[in-house]
Amino acid sequence: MRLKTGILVIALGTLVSAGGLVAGCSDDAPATTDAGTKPTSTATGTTTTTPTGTGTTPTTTLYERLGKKDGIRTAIAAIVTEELKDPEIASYFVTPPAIGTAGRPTREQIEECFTNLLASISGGTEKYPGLPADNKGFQCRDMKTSHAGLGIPGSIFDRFVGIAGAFLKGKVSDADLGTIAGALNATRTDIVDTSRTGDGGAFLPKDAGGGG
Amino acid sequence: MSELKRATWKKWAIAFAVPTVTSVMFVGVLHTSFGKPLLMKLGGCPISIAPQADVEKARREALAHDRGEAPSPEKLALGFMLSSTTLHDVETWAETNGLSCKRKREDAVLVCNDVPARAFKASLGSAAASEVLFSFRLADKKLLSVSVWRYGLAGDAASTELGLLSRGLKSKLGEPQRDLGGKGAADLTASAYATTVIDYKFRDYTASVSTTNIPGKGVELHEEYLAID
Repeated sequence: MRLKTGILVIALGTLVSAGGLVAGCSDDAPATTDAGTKPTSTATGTTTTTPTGTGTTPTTTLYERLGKKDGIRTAIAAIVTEELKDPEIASYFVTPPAIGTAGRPTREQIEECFTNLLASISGGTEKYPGLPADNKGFQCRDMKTSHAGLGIPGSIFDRFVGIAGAFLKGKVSDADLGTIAGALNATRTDIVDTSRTGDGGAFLPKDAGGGG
Repeated sequence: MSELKRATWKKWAIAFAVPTVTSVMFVGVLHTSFGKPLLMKLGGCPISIAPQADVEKARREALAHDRGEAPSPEKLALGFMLSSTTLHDVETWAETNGLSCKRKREDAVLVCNDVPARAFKASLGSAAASEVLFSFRLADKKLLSVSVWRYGLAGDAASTELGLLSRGLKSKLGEPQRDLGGKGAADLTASAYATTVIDYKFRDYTASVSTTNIPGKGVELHEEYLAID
């Protein structure tokens, strides 16, 4: 009887302490997400201004003007680099120790999925969500699923779009920049968690009061 | 207390203390650099949180990728000293100015809301900041960057502020590497996501100001000063 009680107490103590330690891993920002949903609209217009914002150059699609898949992949990598400079946005792109498990994509996987997203809405044949065109052994989930539970406020989303826009300024025409930013913004309702943090307000962590 | 009761209490205390201390040590070791491989084999930390050290590393790499060649003539940062001002200094400043701030990310980030321009020792602008984000080096809590966000500005107000910031930066840092987009109220609100950018990139420092016209929300103005190690 005593032995049984002792074992029970040890088991309980272990469980309680392990639970506390696991909770102790927690911080105020989630780690990563992967890329987003299939957009409801496309942006494959074939008329645009030139990169300097003057004149028109018809007959090319946005996909072609962005340099097709390779050009888009390069631009996405550069945009992610820009986003990484923001200390809060950066936390969404860094993979915690459990690499590769569901919901914890690597930066490269996020970039692949963003590439497919932008390619698909700009007139490319790439599919999003779904497998990357060159099947890299993972699948891009839709925006809503991949951002569920991250508690991303509207202000962070707007920041993300603003940083991407500032990077693209001068590299694509103003019209194309507006098209890309508009397409990104179309995913807003799937990404922003208005119930938890308020829309457009300051970033508040999921666990209020949970600093450090 | 009887001997029997005391012995029972002792047993319970030991039963809790031993597994607690053992678990703390085990999980602690798993989170060290040499313990991480084992943590990975076990499926990783169940909490989906990026360690701030990893976030800082990713940020540093991003900054290194984007640095200029010349050293900066001055590291403007609203009166704060990049690489020198500490978290404690900024919190003292916030308290003195009655600001509402919150520590985040293992105390490597401090966010203050609704900061009037007069609170800064050396603001180039005049409009209140919706949000000011200070980031600190994890190891010594020295200031790495200051980001100021002003949300929902009308075209006129955004243009005035942008003009002040642009002139202020030019007078201290010279001509920017990138200066794109008209700065008039009509330019800033000409279309959805109309964007302007002013960028300075030095070997040890970057400064940037940008605006984005967010549909239905007004102009968002971002001012940022970063130290590069």
